[in-house]
Amino acid sequence: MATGDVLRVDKHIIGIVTLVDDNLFGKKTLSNRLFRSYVLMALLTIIIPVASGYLYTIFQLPLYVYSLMMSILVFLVLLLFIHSVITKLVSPIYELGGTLRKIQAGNLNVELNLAGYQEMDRLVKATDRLRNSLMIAKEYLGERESTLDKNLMDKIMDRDATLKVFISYLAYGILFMSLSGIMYSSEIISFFSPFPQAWLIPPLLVILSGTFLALVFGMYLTNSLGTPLHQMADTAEKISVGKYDATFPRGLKGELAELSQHFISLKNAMMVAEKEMLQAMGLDGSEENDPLENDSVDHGTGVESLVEPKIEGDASE
Amino acid sequence: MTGNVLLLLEEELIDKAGPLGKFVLQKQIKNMGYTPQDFPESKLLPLITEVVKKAFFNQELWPQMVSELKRKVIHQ
Repeated sequence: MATGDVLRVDKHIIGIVTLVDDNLFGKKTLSNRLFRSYVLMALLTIIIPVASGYLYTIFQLPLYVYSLMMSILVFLVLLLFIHSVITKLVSPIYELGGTLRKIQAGNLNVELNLAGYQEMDRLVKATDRLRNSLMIAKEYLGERESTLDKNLMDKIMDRDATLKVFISYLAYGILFMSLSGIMYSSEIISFFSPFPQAWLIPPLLVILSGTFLALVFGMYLTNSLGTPLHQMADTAEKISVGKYDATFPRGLKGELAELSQHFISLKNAMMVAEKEMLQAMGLDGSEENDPLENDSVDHGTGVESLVEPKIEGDASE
Repeated sequence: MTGNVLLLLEEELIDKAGPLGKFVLQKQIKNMGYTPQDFPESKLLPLITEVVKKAFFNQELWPQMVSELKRKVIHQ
């Protein structure tokens, strides 16, 4: 192949998307978004008891009417937030897992979309770099027909993060509604009735307890999802620029563990590919064997080791 | 001087094309008949052009990448 000719890696490669996003670090982190989500939810659920307390003073309807109304509204708000967090924050984790599986299967013509929050976008960018490098390796070392790690292909991703989000929001909702129920009980209301502006006291107590609960659950979700994802993004970023000694945080579970395994497989493939590239390009001092300059070269050289990486992964991570 | 520029170019290539981008650069320098130590500054633009063609597989990206690397490496 002459210099300047179009590189033909495989016929499906045309139209691949390479991501260049200079504004990546201006984006919100997952922790930031989770925290904002809980604060917004707390604010919305605050409006409901305040409104119902105010209505109670005007219409004097039975307490259970307000209690029921509040429960329905809180439940709807919860559903809205669970749906929003899962679709915007958690789904990209599964999508990236699927993309990594495709790359491992040798399909480098995958579309990578930025997810909209910092950690996931960094993971996507790292994937894009590794994918591009694998394309270079493919060109230099020949076609890869098999998978990098067949076992990983058969794994079904756990829904650990979805479960965490669901349980966390649901627990928040149940506790919040229980507290609201207690604050609106006739005993509490009659206890505060001698005070001026007594109708405001139960809602204020609900607000305080709701905010406290939002903080507790927001911190839980951030620690269990946001922090490991942030650490994973750091490691994947290092691997994608060739720092192969970077290790993923220990104790990852569910889809985060799965994602880290995909990256470890790609890291191993890259390490082998680098070694093979040095030989194939004659950069290690050995005889030059460059397929880009000589189309008659045997593309089989080095392919097996790229397909079945022999370097042990950080399996314990 | 050129050594630093090449180092910068290598970093940029790794950032954009992944870890194997540096091999494409090394290979291209070798193909042009130089070593990183004696690479002339006047050949930087042809080097960038060729490296971009070999490190990126989406042709639509080539002009953007060449101008970006030129801006970051040559006009630093």
